[in-house]
Amino acid sequence: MSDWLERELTRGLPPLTAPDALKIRLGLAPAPRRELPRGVLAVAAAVVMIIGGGYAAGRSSALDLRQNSARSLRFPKNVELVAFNPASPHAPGQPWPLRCDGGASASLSASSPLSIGNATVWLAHSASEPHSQALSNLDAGCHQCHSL
Amino acid sequence: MTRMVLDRTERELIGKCRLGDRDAFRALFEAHQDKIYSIALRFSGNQALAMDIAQDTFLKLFSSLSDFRGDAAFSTWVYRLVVNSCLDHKRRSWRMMPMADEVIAVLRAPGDALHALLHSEMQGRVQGAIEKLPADQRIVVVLRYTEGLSYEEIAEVLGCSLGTVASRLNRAHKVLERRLSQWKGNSYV
Repeated sequence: MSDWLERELTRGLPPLTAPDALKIRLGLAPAPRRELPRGVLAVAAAVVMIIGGGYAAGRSSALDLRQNSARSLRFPKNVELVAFNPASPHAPGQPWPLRCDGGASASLSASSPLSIGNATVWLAHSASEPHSQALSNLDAGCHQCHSL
Repeated sequence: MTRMVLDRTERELIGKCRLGDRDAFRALFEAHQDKIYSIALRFSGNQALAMDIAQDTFLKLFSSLSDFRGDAAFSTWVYRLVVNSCLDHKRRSWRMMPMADEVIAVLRAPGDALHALLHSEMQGRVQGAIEKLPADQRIVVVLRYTEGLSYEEIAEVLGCSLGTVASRLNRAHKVLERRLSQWKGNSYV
């Protein structure tokens, strides 16, 4: 063998240093912790808050009964709409006020679709099952009065 | 005297490893990691494969420490383990890829990299030529030039005769001379 080859092989195949990854693979050193930059966490938190705030605001607007538009109500059973407040009896042709505050119960006529125009619809909580069923079918979008 | 001290230290280390001493495992690893990784990478020419070979070697080493009877030097036993891992992986066959990473890294390096480039290019050619050798010739070349083992030590590691080692090296030298001589003019000082 020539001296040149001996020299090239010695230079070309020197010993190497093992990488740290080998020690980690064998469990002899802990894997390096990946730390997220603080800015990334702050941005993620801000995004979550914005999304959560937007959702909550949307829910609030749904809960604002004054924003609800009129709906055409249909009921599976015969229900009778009754004005329960003797101080302000219902005049024919006038919109039916329905309270959603646990006060007056209300029944609605199912003989024909009842359109209440732009009136605010309040759904009353009722201990009576028929009323509960009728009222549970009403959807004024208030999201509050259907757990009867 | 130094060898006796090292042997005693190694014996103590092996004894502690057998008792499950984690610090002893770590010390044994650090004593042999470069040697095992060097042989694995020079033999396979592929970093990912070298990591696999090195990991397999250490796992075998740690799990079979009780089999080491001390009739040969511990380093000889370690060499045998890594050689067997290399040949096992070769038998499962893989595609040999030249180590181009070093050349690319030098090309990207700023400053006067001409000398480093030439050095790295030739290293790449040597490594590439080694990888084309049959496994039995390749392993003796790596043990000889990467680890600097003598013919006798190589024979002890491989469990073959001195004549077999000499024959394999002789055949490997002829092939390498033929493959690398075209770049003889590019030799650097």
